[in-house]
Amino acid sequence: MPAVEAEKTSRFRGIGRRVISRLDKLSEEKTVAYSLYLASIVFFLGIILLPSLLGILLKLDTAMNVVTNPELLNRSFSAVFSSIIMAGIVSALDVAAGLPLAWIIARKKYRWLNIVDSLVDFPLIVPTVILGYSTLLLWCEETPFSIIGFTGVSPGFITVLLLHFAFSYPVVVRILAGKLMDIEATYEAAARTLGACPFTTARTITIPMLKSGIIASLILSFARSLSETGATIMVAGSFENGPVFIKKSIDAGLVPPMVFVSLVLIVLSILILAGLRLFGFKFRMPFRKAYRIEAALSREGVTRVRDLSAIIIFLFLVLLPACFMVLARMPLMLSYGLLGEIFTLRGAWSTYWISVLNSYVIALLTTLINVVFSLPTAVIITRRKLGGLVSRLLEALSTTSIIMPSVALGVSLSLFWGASGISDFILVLLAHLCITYPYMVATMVSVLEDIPVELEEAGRTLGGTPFKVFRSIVLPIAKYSFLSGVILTFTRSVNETGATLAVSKTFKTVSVLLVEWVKSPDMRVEAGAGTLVLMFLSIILLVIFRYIYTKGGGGLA
Amino acid sequence: MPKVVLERVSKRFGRITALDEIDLTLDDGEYSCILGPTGSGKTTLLKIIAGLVEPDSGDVYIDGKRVTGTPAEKRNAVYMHQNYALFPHLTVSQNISFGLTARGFEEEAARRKASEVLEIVKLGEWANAYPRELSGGMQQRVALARCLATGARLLLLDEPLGALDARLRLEVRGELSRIAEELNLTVIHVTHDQSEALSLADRLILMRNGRIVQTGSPEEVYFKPNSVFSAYFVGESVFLEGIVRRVDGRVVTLELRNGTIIEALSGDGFNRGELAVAAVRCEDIKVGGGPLTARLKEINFLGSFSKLVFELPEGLKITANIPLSRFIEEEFRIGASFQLSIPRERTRLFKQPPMGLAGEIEAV
Repeated sequence: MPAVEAEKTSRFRGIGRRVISRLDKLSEEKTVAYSLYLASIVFFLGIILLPSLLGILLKLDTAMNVVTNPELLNRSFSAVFSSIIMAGIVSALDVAAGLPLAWIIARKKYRWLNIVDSLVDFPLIVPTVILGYSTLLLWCEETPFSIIGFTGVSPGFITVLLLHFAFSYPVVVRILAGKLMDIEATYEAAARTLGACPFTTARTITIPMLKSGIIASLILSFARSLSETGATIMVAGSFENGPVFIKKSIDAGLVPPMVFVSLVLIVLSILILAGLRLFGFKFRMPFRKAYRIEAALSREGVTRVRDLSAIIIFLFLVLLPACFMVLARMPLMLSYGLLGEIFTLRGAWSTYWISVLNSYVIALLTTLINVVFSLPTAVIITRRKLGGLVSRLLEALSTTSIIMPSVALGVSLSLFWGASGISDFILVLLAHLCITYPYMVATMVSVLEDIPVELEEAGRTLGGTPFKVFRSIVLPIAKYSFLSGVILTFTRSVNETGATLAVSKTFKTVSVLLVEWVKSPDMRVEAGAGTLVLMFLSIILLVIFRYIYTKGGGGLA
Repeated sequence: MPKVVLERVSKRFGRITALDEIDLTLDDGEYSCILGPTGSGKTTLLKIIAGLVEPDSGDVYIDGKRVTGTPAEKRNAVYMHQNYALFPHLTVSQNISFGLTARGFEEEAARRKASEVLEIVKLGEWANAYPRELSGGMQQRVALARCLATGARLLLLDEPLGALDARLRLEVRGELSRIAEELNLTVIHVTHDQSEALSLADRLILMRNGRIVQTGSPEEVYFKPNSVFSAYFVGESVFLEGIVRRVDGRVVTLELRNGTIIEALSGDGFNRGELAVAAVRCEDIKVGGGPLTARLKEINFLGSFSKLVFELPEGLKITANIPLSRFIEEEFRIGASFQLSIPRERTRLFKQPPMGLAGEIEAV
């Protein structure tokens, strides 16, 4: 290394070290810790919780318009009912179909499993709206690849179901596989040597131990299905659930139905999710006995069929829709020579690249801000820094915005902040913060819960300041789950459309732009090319994330 | 030099009083063992000294400086957790360097110091191994080395030998006292194992229900227990309940439930007709020749000594420990009658505990 450069690096190191030692000093002050806690609570209340709810609550009086109009009331209730039914079916299917695949990933040792394992995450980097359009192409429209899909379905209940299944399935598999890996194989081994066949072991030992994971999966897929808007509209046809109804009434310039349906949805889903949490944990599967059919189900042939169907379901109902749009548009893209044009930055493509930049800036800021504020929140929740009551309350409230239809959230935010005259950029940022916050807090909480407190205590009495203990003990131990939280937040932000559309007409993220392109008949091939590029960018970005993270983690320790 | 003083330290967790106005002074260079049953508040006391738990009231002084409210990393008191809490993602050497880099050492200097300390605990060649690759005993030594490397002179050990097997425990026990002596450390060692406490401690602190029951040298606590609980928790005793029949100077005569009469020496003022508990060490009971006639019910051969359980009339049981030499010389047959005596100068007499004898020793 040339001398000048070496000097520069060492100067950088010097500055870095000074910053770190300054932070070390700061973290020793109790007031600093408590101001951080306070700031994170203020952030949660002032930026996340109240704006998402107050915007709607302030218009509560207008909801009476709906109540007095029987026809509107009827439609509202049927939309809410459809939402709940859909969310219920989707979450049940997710767990039923996700568990076998999670099991394969966690318990089997095939070499090709690594590929399946990484493919599971793939649908997450496809913007949900594109997934919606892809679903439509695959199941409903004539394409050069129609042979793969079944073209006889018309948009409606079934397509919405297929869509919701496809976008919530990867997260469910991730959660279940992660929890399964945490359950030591020794319990299963014990059950087997005590004479239980694999199926009985799964039913009586593993699945009961997996309960918290199953409940978390149900809650997450239920909430996602309830709140997704952009893609659902695309494939809904005449089917109308809560978010579709809300979007339609907003487009028609009507606020009261949106207020009414949002409120009913929020109240109902809080009740349902609270019920799930409460009774889900109390629910115990009766033990009874080992049924004869369980031995039959444990036979190798049967388990092979099961594993194979799990993989086929994943490939055809999740992975294929995720990449079908790119696949279907490929021949046209190639014949237009579009792929070369993308990088010329001409015409539509300059708009495209600006929107990509917009998306990444927003996603980066969203992730950073959320990390900074959700970490102290997670510390308050897991380490009970402000008492048990505050912990429980904060944990329950922090998941509220997860169940709000994203469109309703967006409208509520623009009603709340609208009068203040802040820029569209900030509005979009605020919306993305609200949407990703629950995911981030939940990840951080599970990260911190998994780290034994005694490691932190040991670090402290050995002379480490809170900041030193955090960066060289907590972070390195938790780095993979921490990373997955960061990635989840980042991709959610890049792929968000519903709320973004609702808060801003001028500031376009790439997902919003792609939706526009998909909707206009002469830009559909470009939409395919744009999606393809976005997918590549996301993959590159994920790899970079992982690289920086592993490098950075090592250097900091 | 670290001298530790606690003044009226109290701590409650919800409705449970973990510590109740503890006053304690530990001298510099002293090896103290805090002994007590589970839930007696030992660990809480240690964590309060370490700064991991703040007391609700009262003060902690280390080295004459008030440290109440001072964060753990500023106290120069290292706390060793009973599971060692080795950082799983760091090598042995990195684990040991942690406290040094935290104190501002450069990485290289920290590593050098770490390898020095590793030599003290004889694990030089394991510097680059990860904790999971070490046996329990080795992990224990790494944890100790990690504490020593910080240069802290106050070592707080929470059940440091609890996770080791019996033989290793004896070995490490010797090691601990050697290191503490060589480095002139002030050590506070929490344990529920009385033999550990008796063999290691300069000063023994016996705790129960958040209070200190007795402090003193191991010999003092062993030979002069100040309560039924002390006599019960340290050493092995036979407890006999009875009514005081006569007080003649220091000699107190006690009538047991079955009418047997025994004598004890006591400085406390006992009155006739009062209920009292006599405690005798099992090894002080003389078998062969004496006023009490008892039948041998049970023999427990334990190697260096044997435990003989005798029964007096009306089911009253007395356990006597006899040395191996005696056990070989004589024939002890179950069912045979023996004469026992309880030497009055070795018998301690206590007032009847408020919850009764059973309440005092069974609630442990």
